Amino acid sequence: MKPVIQLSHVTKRFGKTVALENVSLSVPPGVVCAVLGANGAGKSTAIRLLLGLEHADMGTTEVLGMNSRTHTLEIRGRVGYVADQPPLYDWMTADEIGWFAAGFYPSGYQQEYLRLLQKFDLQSHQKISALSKGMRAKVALSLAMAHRPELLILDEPTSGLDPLVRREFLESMIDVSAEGRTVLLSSHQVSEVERVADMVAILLNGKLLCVESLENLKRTTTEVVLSLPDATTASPAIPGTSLAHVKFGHEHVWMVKELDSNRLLESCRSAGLPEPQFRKPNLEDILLAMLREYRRDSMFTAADGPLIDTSPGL
Amino acid sequence: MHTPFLRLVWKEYRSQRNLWLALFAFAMCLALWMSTFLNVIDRPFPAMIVLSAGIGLICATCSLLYLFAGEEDNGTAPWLRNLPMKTSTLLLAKLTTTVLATLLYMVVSGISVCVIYGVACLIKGESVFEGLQLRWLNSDEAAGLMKLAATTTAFLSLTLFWSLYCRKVIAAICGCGVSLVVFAALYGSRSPFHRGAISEPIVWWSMTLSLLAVGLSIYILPGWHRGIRRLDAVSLFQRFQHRPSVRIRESGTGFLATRLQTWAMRSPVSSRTFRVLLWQQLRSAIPFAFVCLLLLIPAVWMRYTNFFPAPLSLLSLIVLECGLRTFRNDQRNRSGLFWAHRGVSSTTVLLTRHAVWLTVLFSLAAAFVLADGLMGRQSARDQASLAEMLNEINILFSRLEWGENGSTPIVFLLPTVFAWLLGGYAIGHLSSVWIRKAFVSAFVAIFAYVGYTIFLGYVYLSDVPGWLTAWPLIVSLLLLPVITRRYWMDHQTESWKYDFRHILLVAVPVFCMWPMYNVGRLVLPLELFRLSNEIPPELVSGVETHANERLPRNVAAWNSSWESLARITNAVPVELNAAKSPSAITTRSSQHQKAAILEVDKIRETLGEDMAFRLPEQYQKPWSVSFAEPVTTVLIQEARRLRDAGDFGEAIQRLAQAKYILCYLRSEASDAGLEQATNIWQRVVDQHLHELVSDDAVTAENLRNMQAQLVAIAYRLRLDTPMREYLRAAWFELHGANVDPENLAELPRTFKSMSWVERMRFLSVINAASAIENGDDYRHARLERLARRAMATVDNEMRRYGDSVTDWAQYSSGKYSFVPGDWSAAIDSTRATQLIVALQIYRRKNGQFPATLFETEMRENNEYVLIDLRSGGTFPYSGDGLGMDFRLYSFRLSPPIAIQVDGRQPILWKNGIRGPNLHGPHDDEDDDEIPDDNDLPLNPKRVLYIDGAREMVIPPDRLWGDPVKELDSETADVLHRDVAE
Repeated sequence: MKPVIQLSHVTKRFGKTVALENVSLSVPPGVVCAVLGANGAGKSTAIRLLLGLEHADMGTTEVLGMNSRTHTLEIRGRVGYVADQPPLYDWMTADEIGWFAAGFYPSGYQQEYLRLLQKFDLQSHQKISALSKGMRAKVALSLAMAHRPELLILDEPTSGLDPLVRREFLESMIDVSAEGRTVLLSSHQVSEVERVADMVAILLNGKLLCVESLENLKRTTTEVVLSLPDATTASPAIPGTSLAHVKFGHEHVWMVKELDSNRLLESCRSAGLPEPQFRKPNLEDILLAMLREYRRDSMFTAADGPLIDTSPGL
Repeated sequence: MHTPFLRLVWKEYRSQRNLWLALFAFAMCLALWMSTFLNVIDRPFPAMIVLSAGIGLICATCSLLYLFAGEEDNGTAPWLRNLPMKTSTLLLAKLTTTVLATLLYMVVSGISVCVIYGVACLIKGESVFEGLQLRWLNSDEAAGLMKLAATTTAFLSLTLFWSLYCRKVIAAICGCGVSLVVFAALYGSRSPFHRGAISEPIVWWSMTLSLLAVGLSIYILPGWHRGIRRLDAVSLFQRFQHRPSVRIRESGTGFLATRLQTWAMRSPVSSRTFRVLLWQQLRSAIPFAFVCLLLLIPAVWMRYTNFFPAPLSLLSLIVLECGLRTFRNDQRNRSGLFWAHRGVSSTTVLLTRHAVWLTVLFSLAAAFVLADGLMGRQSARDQASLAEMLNEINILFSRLEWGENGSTPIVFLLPTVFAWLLGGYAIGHLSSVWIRKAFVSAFVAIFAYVGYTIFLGYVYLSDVPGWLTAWPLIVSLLLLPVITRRYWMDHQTESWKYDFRHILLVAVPVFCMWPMYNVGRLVLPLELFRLSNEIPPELVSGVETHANERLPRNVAAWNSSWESLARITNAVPVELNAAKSPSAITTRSSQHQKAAILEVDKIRETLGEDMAFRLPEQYQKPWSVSFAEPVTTVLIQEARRLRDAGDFGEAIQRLAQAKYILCYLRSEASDAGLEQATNIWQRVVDQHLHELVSDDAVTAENLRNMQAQLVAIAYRLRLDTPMREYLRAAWFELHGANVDPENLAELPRTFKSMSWVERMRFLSVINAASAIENGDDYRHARLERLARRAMATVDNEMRRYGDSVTDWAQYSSGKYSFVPGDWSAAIDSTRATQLIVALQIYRRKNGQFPATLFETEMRENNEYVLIDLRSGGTFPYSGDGLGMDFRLYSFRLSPPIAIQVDGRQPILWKNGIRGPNLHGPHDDEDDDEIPDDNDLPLNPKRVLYIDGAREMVIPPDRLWGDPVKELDSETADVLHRDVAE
């Protein structure tokens, strides 16, 4: 199946700042892909590259099989985009802005837009300037979805929304993906994204740390807690890929991928160490551990590449 | 309405509709005001149309700025970019909206202006067509229109470019402003465009600039559409431009930045919070000051090379910008809330802002004065002063005398300059605190600053010291942000309640201050409340106010005589039309003549020898009734009658009387036209005298008597008139500078009754004229332009006064020949008459004319009479003629006049390019165009005087002018009754 989004070895710099470095990502159709990362990680830059608002210094970006650089107009016609704090014309009413946007899309746009407004409990005669932040976000989402785009790109769409609206908003993403359409979601609300996302891409300082299906990531990742007798005792070798290692005095915590727990138990026993405790972490735990580990590493040595294999495909 | 193009047009129309409607309403209000308060004679219609079109241009400029930069400023550009549309569609739709709106505005406003004008004329009962001046453009006007269209296109193209290039409206406005200033300076300069190898370089230059701007716009438009820049060639400049003006970097690693930060942190006088806040402002202020200093160099250069007031304009912008920058960062980042959450008091925030930006403001102002002084050190002293710069915007803070005195400007001007600078700063500061949108606050501040400048001028012209008006207002404006600190610190939501409170907070001080001041001034008549107390006494005492002792004893009879004379002769504003045929002359009826002579005698009797009376007030106005022609024609006609009756002595007396009254009328002339008329009629009278004294019946005694009177008349023909001093006294009078209240009667009534705005403008004319009078050549051109510019704004009637003042000033400044042409012609004509009388006396004595003028008695008594004023040489003379016939031509009359003169005619002439042509027709003249020759009969006893320096508007031995018009029956009855009485 041809991927909806394809980033191949993309590098983008702004002056001395490296926004994206050798990033490769492939998102298949019909999934909700969450792009996670700290502030300034390069999430918005990646989205701008996909929409053709920026050009990559190296590598290629493709959306729906079209090059973002050369097919900007076509991509915009088939993609819906909602930005953080969506800027809309304050002097228009919700109805008018839909009518205005309908001129740029095929017929049926306005009917669908009005249906979505109704679905979101919005009054069509209300002026945009009179709408609350959440209602604006709903209008923006309606505008982005009214032409039934094959790809919906949402750049932190839930920031500033109350929990109820946020929940409704994210649940509507599930409906979209259920229709076979793809959603690319950038957000800091990890716990809520976890509920809707099919796959996760974690970016930090322009580098892609992880691309994996959420289910697989959670299934294969284990948190290991081991209390050593004293601080001078050497910790055992961890069988598996260690994503993060945190030490609190004589207590060690590992975030391990594809852990062979039996081997670890055996090695602890043979070394006379206490039995380690195992726990299944949630997405937020994994993300925080990875970010913390990466930050610690970057303070001493420059990271050479992704910690985990980021080869495309699920 | 289903295509993207039409939807975009609709969107632009809706977003700009309010702007267009507001400016249209403004234009219509102005048109309504002009049509209501101006008469048809003032021809307000062209001004209304031009004003309306000018506002249309402003609309178009604002619209272009809004198209792209406004979209960025409002934050709607990203959403617009994501709509699937072609870049060309976007550009075409936006431009179409602006073009259509501009055209629509022009048509609608043009029709509306016509309707308003028509209705106003109907209501006032005036003719609609009288003031229209509808006609085809001539070639010059068409060329001017073409140039205007080309330059306007260039300006609008540049506006489009800046709108696309800059991501902020303010930055785009700055770009437009710089373009406009540079373009205007180049347009106004004489080099290199006016030397031109191309016929109209400015047109080609404008078109090139337009094409360049449009080309660049098209080039960067795709980048704008994608939200990125593509103008890589100027990216360096772009970064340079945006760094100081728009962005305040959050962290700096430069050497200077680090050092400054260190110094700021080490300051023992500041708390840590204060230091941090101070540092935040310094990061923005230092690059800003640096850029301003860089801009200062071309600004001062433009001022001294092209007389363009660039430093003043730049300083005005800097004043406002300093005020606006105190809170611009907070407008964008809403950091007031940030500081409030960290427990920083609003006082600390405000103090740090003022500490930095006031320092920047006064440092830049000092740098401006210094640079101005350095550039102008080779020229006049007062050239390089803020006072002189302020005078350019019609604030009358300075007089030339004050500039000469080193200490006076400091005493009087420094508080004014500080009030101007601080007022602008306070306005900018308040705007930035209260208004969230940066460009809206900038617009509001600009308009408020213009109003404040006018207010300041009013305050000083009204003899009010600044500490009673301007300074309380400034303090109020600076305190208002403190009073409303909760609003901006807590970032409370905008609502009508806050808006209303803001309006009240500003309006109350502004609207209450003036009435309160006036009440206080009436209740407490303290001398301290007068600005004039600050005028040094030596300046006041040195001014000679117009003497008041010339009021006639029998004013009623005097005024009545002039009134009667005007009525009898049906005098109209004189306009010598020498093209009329001499045969058209008609004489007045004997009854009219008799009545007129009666009045002239009364006038002459009252006038006496010292001429110590003023004309009636209604004839003191410029362009009022001229008495030169009526008096002269009446007296010449009387002299002719007496000569025919054989009373040559009395006839000579009448002509001498005419010359005497003409001298008086010249000294009373209130404009150049009236003065010119008296000079011309002096020459007409002289021609008659030349003819009269050639008759042998005139005795030597009569001639000597005549000679004595001519000496007195020549003395009277002096240059000065009281009108100039008379008007200049107005300035001091307004400032209460030792002027006797009785003297108020001396002021023209119009001046006393006009508004303060008119007074201010008119007084700027007087100031400029005074400066011209005393100035050198270098300053003359600039001051003259200043005066002319001010003149263009004054009331129509006062303009006439101003015209006369500036004309006189030019004459006496040496800009033109030292002596005005008409005046020198009149004096030389009088001298020639003196010589001719001396020659006739010689002929009476010796039976023939002398061989040279030196043989006459003039050599012994009045040798200067032998010298003509223009060339400084003696009058050429030939007692037995030139020896060959010659012709005199007129060069400007239509049809041309040629007079054949006998070669034996005794002749006296004045050196000049128009001397007797002994070599046939002038090269430039086509004989075919000249009508039949008009032979001058040979009279060997008459010495013919020809003024070679002037065009022949008065052929020898001829007299004509406006014939007496038919009187209406009512006036005729009155006259008959008067004469009978």
